[in-house]
Amino acid sequence: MEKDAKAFEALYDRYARLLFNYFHRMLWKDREKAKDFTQELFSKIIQKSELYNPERSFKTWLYSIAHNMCKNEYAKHEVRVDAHEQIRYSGNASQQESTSVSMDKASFKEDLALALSELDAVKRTTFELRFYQEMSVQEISEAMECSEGTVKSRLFYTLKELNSKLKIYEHILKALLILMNLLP
Amino acid sequence: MKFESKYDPEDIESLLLHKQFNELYPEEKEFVLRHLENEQEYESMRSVLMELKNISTTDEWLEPDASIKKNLMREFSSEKKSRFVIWLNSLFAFPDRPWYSQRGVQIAFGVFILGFLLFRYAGDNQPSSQFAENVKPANENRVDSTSSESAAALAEKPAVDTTNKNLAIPKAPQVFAALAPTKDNAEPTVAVNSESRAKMSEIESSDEVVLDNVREEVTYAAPTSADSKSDLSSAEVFSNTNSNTNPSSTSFSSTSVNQLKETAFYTTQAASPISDYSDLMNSLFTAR
Repeated sequence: MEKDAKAFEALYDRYARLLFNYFHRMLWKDREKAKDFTQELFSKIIQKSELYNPERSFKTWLYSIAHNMCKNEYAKHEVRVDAHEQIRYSGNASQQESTSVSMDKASFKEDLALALSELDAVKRTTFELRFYQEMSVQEISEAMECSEGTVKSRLFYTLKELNSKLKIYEHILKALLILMNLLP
Repeated sequence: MKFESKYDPEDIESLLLHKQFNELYPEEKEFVLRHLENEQEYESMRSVLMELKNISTTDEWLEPDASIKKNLMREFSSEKKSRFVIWLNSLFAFPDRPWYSQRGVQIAFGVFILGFLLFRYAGDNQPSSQFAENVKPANENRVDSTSSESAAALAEKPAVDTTNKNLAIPKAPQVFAALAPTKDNAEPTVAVNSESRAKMSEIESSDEVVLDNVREEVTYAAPTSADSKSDLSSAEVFSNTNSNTNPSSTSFSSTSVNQLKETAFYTTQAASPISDYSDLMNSLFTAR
């Protein structure tokens, strides 16, 4: 009993931070939601621990549960960017385009977050797992229960979609890359 | 060699991260241009991807609240403990089956039956110590009584229902037995009478009440003063029946009428066929 508690505590310490941030980004930067979802996920692990298959990676099992929870949440709320937000985004972009000199990294991050929130759940999850959780394509395929090719394809089209939405930052990003000596 | 087998979208990601468009090999450029429109798009995607990588590494990581861990650890411990509670609940509380098919009810019923059978058969086969204690003193009393009394006294012991308090004369049979003539104690009538009187005085001193009862019975049984002659004649009959008696020693002058009555009663008892106490009682009632 005591050993089990210690094992559970070790698992929590290893994955709680990752999952909390995952939920935070996936659920519209809502900290309270992220908190609730993190607790709910570990509660499910406690109650349904017998469902874990030791042949699989524990990390991918965790993220598959988290992914399904987010999908259910999306289905509940049918998150869509309403007209007001769309206007705000366009206005913001046009304003940024006109004053591209004053754009900074912070605004890029904000618009990136906004663009990510407009993605569908599958693409968003794939992107999140790949670039924030730094999981391999194989791990993502296990977590999302799909083939590696599907994951690669989703990643590519997600990146392409983001690129089209953040095209306004093309020049500033190039400048940043030059500053970082990544471009000749 | 087909590019599709060598490069896939993830390979584009790898190319985007590591190579500029002008650094790509011809076949790589051909592959990239199959998925992207032109070099500009490639460079744009590359800058976005690089920035994303940069953001993901430098982005602030939030720390989950300590309350989450606290709640989860409490839930974990309660979940482990509650497995027994769930088992108990399956016995009685929150039944999802009929009450008689509940495990607890069946176990309790089985234990009750087993206990009942054990108690029943154990009680039948082995006498309890309480019964043994109750029987033993009765046997001991009987043995003691046989050892303390003579065989003759036991033979004379009447089987009389003494529930009637008026007829309770417990020591009378012993008196009769002591006075009964045997081969060894055959003596003259006078001697017997004096001995009987001595015994009577002894009995009087020891148990006055019993003697009073005896006397009362004797008074009823004895002949009246009007029949004193016949009493004397019966006394004489008694003295004649004993061949060893000495007539000269017989003297009635010194005895009172009551003594004579008693003597006549006892001697009559000794000689008469009324040897059983029940017959005596019958005769007494008849006399009344």
